Amino acid sequence: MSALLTAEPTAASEPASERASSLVKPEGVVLLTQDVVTPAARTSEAIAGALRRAGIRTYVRDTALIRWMHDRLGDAPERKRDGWNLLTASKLKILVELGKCDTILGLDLYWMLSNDPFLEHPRVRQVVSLWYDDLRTCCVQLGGLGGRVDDFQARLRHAKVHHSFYGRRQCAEARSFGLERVTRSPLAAPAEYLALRKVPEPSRRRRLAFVGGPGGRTPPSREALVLMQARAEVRDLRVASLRETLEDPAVAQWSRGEPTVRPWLQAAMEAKLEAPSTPAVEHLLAAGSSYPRALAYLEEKGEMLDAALLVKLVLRYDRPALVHRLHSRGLVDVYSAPWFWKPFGIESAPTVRFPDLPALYQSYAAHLNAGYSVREAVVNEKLFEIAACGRLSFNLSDDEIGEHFALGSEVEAHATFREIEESIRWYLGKPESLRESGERARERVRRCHTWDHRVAAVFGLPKSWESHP
Amino acid sequence: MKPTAALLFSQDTSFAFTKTTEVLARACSTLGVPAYVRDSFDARAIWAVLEDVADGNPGAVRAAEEMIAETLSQLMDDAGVDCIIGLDLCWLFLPDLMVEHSGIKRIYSIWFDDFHSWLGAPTNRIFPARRHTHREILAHPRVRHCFYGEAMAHEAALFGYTNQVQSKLAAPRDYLDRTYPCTRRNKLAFLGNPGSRIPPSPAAIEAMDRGADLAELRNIARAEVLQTFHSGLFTWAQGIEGVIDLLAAATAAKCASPHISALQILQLCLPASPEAFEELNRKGGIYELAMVVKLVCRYDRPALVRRLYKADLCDVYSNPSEWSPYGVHAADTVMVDRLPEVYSSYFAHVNAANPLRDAPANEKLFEIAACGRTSINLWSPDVASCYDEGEVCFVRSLEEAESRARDLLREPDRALSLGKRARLRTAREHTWEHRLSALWALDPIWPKAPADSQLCDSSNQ
Repeated sequence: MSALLTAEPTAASEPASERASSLVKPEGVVLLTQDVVTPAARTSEAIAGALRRAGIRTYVRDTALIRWMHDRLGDAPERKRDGWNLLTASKLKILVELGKCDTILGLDLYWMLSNDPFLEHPRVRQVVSLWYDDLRTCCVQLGGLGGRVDDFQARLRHAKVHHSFYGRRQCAEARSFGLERVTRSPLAAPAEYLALRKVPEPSRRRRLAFVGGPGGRTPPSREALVLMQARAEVRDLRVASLRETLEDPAVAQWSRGEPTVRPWLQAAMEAKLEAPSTPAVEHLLAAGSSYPRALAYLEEKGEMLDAALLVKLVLRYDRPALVHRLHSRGLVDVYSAPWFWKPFGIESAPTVRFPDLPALYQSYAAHLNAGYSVREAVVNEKLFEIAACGRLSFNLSDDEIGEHFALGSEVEAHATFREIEESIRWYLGKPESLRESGERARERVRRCHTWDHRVAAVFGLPKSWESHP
Repeated sequence: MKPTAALLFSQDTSFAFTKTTEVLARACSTLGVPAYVRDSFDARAIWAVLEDVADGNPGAVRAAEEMIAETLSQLMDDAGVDCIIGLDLCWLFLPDLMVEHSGIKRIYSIWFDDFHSWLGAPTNRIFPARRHTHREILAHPRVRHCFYGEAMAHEAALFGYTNQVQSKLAAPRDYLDRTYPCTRRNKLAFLGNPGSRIPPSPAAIEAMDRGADLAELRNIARAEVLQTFHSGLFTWAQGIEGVIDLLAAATAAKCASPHISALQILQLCLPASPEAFEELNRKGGIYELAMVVKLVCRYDRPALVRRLYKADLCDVYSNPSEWSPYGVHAADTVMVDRLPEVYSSYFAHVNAANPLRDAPANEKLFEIAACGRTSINLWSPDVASCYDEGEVCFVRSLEEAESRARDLLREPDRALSLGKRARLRTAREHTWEHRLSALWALDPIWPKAPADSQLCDSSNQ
């Protein structure tokens, strides 16, 4: 378990606004991406397109090789390591200077390089982390590099650095861990998707598609699999996950240091079970009033993010169980890396290449969508992309979905698996209603949810901005 | 018709590359081809860093290759990239990745520089295991070398790279839509450096001061080249009999025919010393010899600019230190984003090629025209194939250049009307969209273009 962030148990402040008032319109942007994580590359290009359409010069650059080489040079003579860092940092400085770039954007923390070329550069006015993954995962992934970034935490909290999260719970978590200049900016769809007008393929009009993995790479427990096969409801799966998570080795290890950790975590997980829309960290803090020693113990160890992860895992079967149920009923085709789904007994079609995504979305009459529990943010990119393609999506209920789309009219969201299945069956019998809902969803994206809207909102650019439903 | 998606390799340490690569990417997008721009500097520089580290650990080099291949393959696969575009050889760092990747149909090298300069640069490294194959890679049927000058193309063909096409440089399409006021009607402007970085000799400066014209300056440059040879500074020629005869004949021929490529001239002069030619060719010294022959024209550009500057007819923008040996006080280099504004602010410009590239139709020629301004150019078949007299101004001597500059100054409105025509011609023929469309139309690997091209004629502007 990592100890990258020290907990600062301040209560989450008021909900984030859509706009970070201190961000200014960029003169030029360097957008740092990671090509080996292709969704990051795809989203970077979509954001770059929106920035360019707004008249902002934008350079997309990949940092994978810089990071890899830095790690590789770990045991090399200092002279060599410094040489590489200097070389790569100089290159980016040249881009900043000659490209007149005053703004650095990075999905997650891709802007954070061991030899920082940005934060103290006089031309750079603002550095924006557009958070895609969750805080803990990013910190762990950067651990190899972060371990040598002595001022990792200081950089996260640097006065030029702004953090933009797409979910309300992510914002709350970030604030509670002491990050400043945290704002909320939802994900969005590429504007180009709006123009696509294909009718669903005849063979795909009575089925939905689910594009994505099960969320997490841990195979399901035997008990969970049995429950899925028995078509258990979402709450049963959550209870099963709670029991499994309490047996995580980390719980046992912490409990040896402080015996009240286990009941504290159990209380937080049970609260999550009852109020899944509340951030895990808030459940932990609330439960901490009854188990103050446990809370203090994990804070002192700097492992609150790890504890929060365990609480989030209560919902880990939501997505795969929903997909499993509908797939076993012949209602859903699944597209993802096949080995992700194999442990769930689901035969998945291969991953869809990202240029082919809109065509695939349009080839079906409707789609299934589900959030990733670890990110605690169900309003994912697919929600907007499916809608932009003029298709209705079916989701598990979450209060954040209704902030972006009109429920029951532009997207469907239900509290139980059974309700979702019933809704799907009803819609599949009424293709015209399905089409009309999809078109309403597309219209909503056109008015409010393209990357152009987000860029305009984040940087306060003059652009029409319609209110949410 | 066109590729599915293009991956463009840039070079952030040389900003002209970045600028043109970004323009090419915009052109791809305009033509409906998703374009991904990536800087390949890390991939090319990594070997230079690994070289020491890899001692006793050859696995590190292999791992670096695998890492680069994994990163780029994933982007190429997932984005459906089937076309690579790189200025010069920005794509060559891991050549097998490009030429053997099943998805890639064509690699376009859009040449800016020359082979000699590119391959000689310390950071342009090819992974060691691939170095011996780079010639085969450059001649690979998937690779298309695009040269903007006839002489460049001819030179490459003589080196055996016949997988080539002539494709001129061009202007960013968005320059056609920009309108800035013309605020400086009392002077022309020249944007650029003197070309060669070798400082001018006192004899050359003295000749320029007394109004010497091109022929005399080329003879001075030739004499300097021959003198340098005798001083033994050309180490690549040491021990090879007869090189001086070849050099003397070739430089004399270049003085007389400056528009013929240096390598073509060397080939024509082969009878002067066939053994020397053959030995130099075997040792790779022909690159160096050709470069030396090109130096005969090295005063063309600075002498033209200096003459107009000294006559108070021209402002100069560049790195000031490069012009100071010529007694020219240059204003600071104009940043890329201000180029159209600065081009437009003058009523006319001076343009001159870098003789080391043997290709006079440079990017500025098109950019100035796209901004609606005319330029005075030394006549060359390359430039004359892009614009006509009446769109730009052709001169054949420095004296004529000064005279044309004074004519234009007397009638700035006429100069602006020439510029308007140059802009129309650019809109019709010389944007990067035109170049890419033409390249793709030439290639049978892309489906044939439909009759209704996506390019719009902007002649109504």
